[in-house]
Amino acid sequence: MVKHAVTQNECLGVCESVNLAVNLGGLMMQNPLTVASGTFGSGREYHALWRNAGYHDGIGALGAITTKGVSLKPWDGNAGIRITQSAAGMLNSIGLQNKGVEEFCAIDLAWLKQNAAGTAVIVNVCGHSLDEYQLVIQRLEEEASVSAYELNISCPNVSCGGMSFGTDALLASELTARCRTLTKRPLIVKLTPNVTDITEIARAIESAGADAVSLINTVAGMSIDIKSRKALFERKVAGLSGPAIKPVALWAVYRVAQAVNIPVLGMGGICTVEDCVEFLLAGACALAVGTASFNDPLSAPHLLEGLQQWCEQNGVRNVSELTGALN
Amino acid sequence: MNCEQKLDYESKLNDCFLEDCVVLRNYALSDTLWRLDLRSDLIAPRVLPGQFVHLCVSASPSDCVFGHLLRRPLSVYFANNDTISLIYQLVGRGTRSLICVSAGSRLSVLGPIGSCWSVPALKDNSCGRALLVGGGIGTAALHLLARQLTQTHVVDFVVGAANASMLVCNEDLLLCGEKLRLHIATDDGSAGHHGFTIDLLPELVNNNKYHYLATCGPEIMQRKVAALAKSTGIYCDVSLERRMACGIGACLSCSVDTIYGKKRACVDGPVFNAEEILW
Ligand SMILES: Cc1cc2nc3c(=O)[nH]c(=O)nc-3n(C[C@H](O)[C@H](O)[C@H](O)COP(=O)(O)OP(=O)(O)OC[C@H]3O[C@@H](n4cnc5c(N)ncnc54)[C@H](O)[C@@H]3O)c2cc1C
Ligand SMILES: Cc1cc2nc3c(=O)[nH]c(=O)nc-3n(C[C@H](O)[C@H](O)[C@H](O)COP(=O)(O)O)c2cc1C
Ligand code: FES
Repeated sequence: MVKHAVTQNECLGVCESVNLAVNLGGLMMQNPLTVASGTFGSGREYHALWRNAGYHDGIGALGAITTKGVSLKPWDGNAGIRITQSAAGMLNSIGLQNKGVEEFCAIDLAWLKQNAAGTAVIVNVCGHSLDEYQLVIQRLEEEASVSAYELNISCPNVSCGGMSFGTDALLASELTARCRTLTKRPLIVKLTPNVTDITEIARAIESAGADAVSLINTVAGMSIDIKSRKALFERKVAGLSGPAIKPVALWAVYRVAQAVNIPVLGMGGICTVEDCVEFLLAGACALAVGTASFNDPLSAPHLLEGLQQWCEQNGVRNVSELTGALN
Repeated sequence: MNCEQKLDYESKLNDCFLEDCVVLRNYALSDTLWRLDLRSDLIAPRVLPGQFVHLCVSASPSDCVFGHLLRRPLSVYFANNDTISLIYQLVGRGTRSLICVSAGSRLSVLGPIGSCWSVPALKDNSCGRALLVGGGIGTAALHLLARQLTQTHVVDFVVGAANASMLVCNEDLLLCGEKLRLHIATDDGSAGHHGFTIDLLPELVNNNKYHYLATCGPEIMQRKVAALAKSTGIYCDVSLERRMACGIGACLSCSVDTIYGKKRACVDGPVFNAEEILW
């Protein structure tokens, strides 16, 4: 994706006149763009690259940084092949590999504190049990640099926990309610599209006290190696992401935005400025860029510039005006 | 730069760039191997032997997003101040798309990425000798190392492949001069020794004293080379291949099991000390 950086002159007129700030359930973001959990680490690697490309603030350009899923103890993730490409997308079976909350605080949060102090930090939280989610949040409450939590109850790549919480309205609401008692920080709950009725789960977590809802996590999928006649992935199932799932994500965002009163963080296949505008019109308050970064590692800053220009050209003075503004 | 300067993590990240590179040449070397030469001002001068680039396989951005979303990792075969050369084997959809890219068009390239060949024992030892073992397309990752090492040291370069047309071995190696000793093996006997690279190693190791061993190629071959290195006490580096999404250390799709726990092939590797790997 070859795009041009906005030149100084262009920026003068544009930056001044468009207000990009949004409020995602109490999380004040300087612009509506964050990254999708798991596609961006904790930002350190992209920070250097963005700066080398002339974006001097590095990941500070984002409205928020969303971290990889963090669990109580280190998780090894899945064995075997972890990714493959598919038509207009990819499948992953990473399995939430992470170093656990202690090391996350000592290394990732410490780095963020030092290098991206002004940027909001959304920590994506995962667990095998209700207790584990709670213990992670309890530990993170001690850290001043955390701005919000995103509860991942929607990962198809782990067998215990993960998606099992996100496919059961009762469990989802119990988890949300328990985490709610532990924190005053914005609590975002991330939903899976792999359910019969996503609005039922969304309503459940809203009544349990969630401040915002993010969607969609990856769509369950599969790939087969026909030579060996074996499933490509050890767990057979993997998560589909990228432009292939955009229409699915857009429909989910639209329906959930209609069903609840809390703001929606929309994601799933966002690659272009037009995609961003579509998600906003469907009802998203903020947006996350995921798989697109693998193709264009500068995708997020490019989209941000593009969105700003689009607003300018279309007479939109506050980006939040677009949210749900479908005719 | 040369491979004796190992970089710390932060400087490695700071040395990685996204560059739109003009394609200088893209042509077939044999029925399965192609060579791609790119003009590069940012990446080329920073490449260390053993590092790789992560590139889009189509010059059309929308074709990349909707057709070939993931970049492909390819070792730097050769680099000087303003060009990068890659040698790639036709494997699947991505590499088959790459052959359609014509000279003059631009490809998005991310790099240089990863660790380099460490050559620790050769540093202070000008009469040291190195053994390089390349299997199949993995040989491409050793070429730049061979070019650099032969400026000062004797190098035995064992190159193997399924057959003669898959050997990554051509007149470029003449530039290594008289310090290069080339040994060839093919599975079908169409060139050199009829059999595996591994078959040639015991004799070489018996007759010469090596201070450094580097290998890249099929993992099973690398494992055997590493075992030989261990039993004969030679310091050995291996270079591992994993599927890669981000290519810069963020997504964990390229996990490698090591004695220090999980490592990422893209930024902690691809070159690892053989003793670290849990095969
Ligand atoms: C560090 C590194 C250096 C490499 N250097 C070279 C080189 O110099 N020359 C060369 O020809 N090949 C090299 N490879 C392998 C090369 O990346 C794959 O052959 C290529 O990605 C295949 O793409 P495809 O679309 O043609 O194959 P497909 O099988 O259609 O690819 C499907 C997916 O799997 C991935 N994939 C398939 N095989 C491999 C593999 N062996 N390693 C990593 N990913 C794979 C692809 O990138 C793609 O995402 C290297 C791999 C790594 C990790
Ligand atoms: C490699 C990879 C790793 C992911 N890891 C996580 C994770 O740790 N936690 C999580 O909630 N979602 C994870 N996801 C899902 C993404 O955050 C996002 O919901 C999904 O990929 C859809 O967006 P996209 O199409 O823009 O990538 C991951 C996705 C990918 C591709
Ligand atoms: S490819 Fe993403 S971490 Fe290595």
